[in-house]
Order: sequence, then C-alpha cells, then structure tokens
Amino acid sequence: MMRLRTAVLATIAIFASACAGAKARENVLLPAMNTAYEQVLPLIVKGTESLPSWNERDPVLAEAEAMRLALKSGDVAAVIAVDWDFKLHPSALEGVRLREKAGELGPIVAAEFVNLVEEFDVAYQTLRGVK
Amino acid sequence: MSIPSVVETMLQSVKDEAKAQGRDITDNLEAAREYAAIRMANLARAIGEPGYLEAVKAVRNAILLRLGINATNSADAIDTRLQGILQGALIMGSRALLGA
Repeated sequence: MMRLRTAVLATIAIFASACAGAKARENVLLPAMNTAYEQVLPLIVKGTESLPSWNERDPVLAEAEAMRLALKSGDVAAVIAVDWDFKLHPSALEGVRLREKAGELGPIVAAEFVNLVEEFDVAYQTLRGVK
Repeated sequence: MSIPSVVETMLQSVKDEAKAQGRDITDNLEAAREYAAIRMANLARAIGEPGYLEAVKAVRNAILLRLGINATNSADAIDTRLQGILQGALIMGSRALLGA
C-alpha cells in the first residue's frame, strides 16, 4: 500500500510540473508571434492586391483580422483555427513580392521579409504541434 | 560598428522587447546568438537598399520568433520525457495496487 501511495504522489508531482510545452506556447511563442504579426499583417493586406476581385480579397482580409484578434487575445486554439496555410501565408509572400517589384524593398531586404514570413510559418506550425 | 557588436545590440533590443512582454530570455539567448549573427551578416549587405530600416525590425522579429520556437521545442522535449516517467509511475502504481 505504501508503494501505491508513493506512486500516486509521484504521479501528482509529475502532473504538477508537466505541460511545459503548453506554457511555452502561451507565454513565449504566442507573444513573439503577436509582435511579429504587426509586420506580417501589412504584407498580407498588400498581397491581396494580386487577387482579381473583392470576392477573393474579403475572405483573406477577414482571416487576417481574425489572426490579429486571436494573437491579441492569447488564445492558442483561436490562432490555430485561422487559415494561415492557404490564405494568409501565400498572401504575405505575395505582399513581399509586390513591394519588391514596386521598388519599395531591395532584394536583400525582401529576402529578410520572406525569412520573417517563413519564421512566422514555423512558429504557427510549432504552435499547432506540427513542427 | 562591427557585426558582432551589431548582433549584441540587436540581441539587447530583442531582450528588451521580451522584457517588455514580461519574459526573461537569458537562458535562451545563446541559441539565438548564432541565428542573429547570420541574419545580421545578411542585413549588413542590405545597407542602402530601400526598406532597410524595416528589415532591421523584421530581423528583430524573426529572432524573437526563433527564440519562441526553440523554447517551445525544448519544452515539448521535456514533456515527452515527463510522459515517459509518468507512464512508469502509473505502471508502478498499478503493480502496487494489484499486489495490495
């Protein structure tokens, strides 16, 4: 019976200290994503200029705003519910391309912006538990 | 200003940003130093290009993200280890229960 008590106590102690990953997601990764998104959001908006009509643009802009609010609220579930993969990620990369084409960004600067978008992607996938 | 000192300035900026968010990233900073050095070396070649100042901010944000990614991956590894210990504890508990 003593061994059972020891095992139960050990289990409780482990439960109390577990979930470090969840805490890191909420306390470290999410605030970093929130800060970086201030720079990613304008790229997404710019990228929508390539879409042929407002019918295509509106859903992307709505999703971009949903991501902003989700990051601001610090709700992991809300962030991973946003369609980053198919709506926001391609639009952000397109935004960099358009700005470089317009001469607003030099080639190395544009590469750093692409790197930022790709780091944001890795962060999103890490938040989701994919990478 | 040399690249290493620019890297340190950049890391200090990242540290300040993290501190403003109520986080201490001292333990995680070493891992970011190498990443920051690569980014800063690239950025040094972009001086004079359009959007340079925005790129400095982009690099700072990328370093912040990398710190967050590294911290989460490290914590996930700890969780996996704890799950193994937890499983062992549960097996031990169930054996003790059966023997009781």
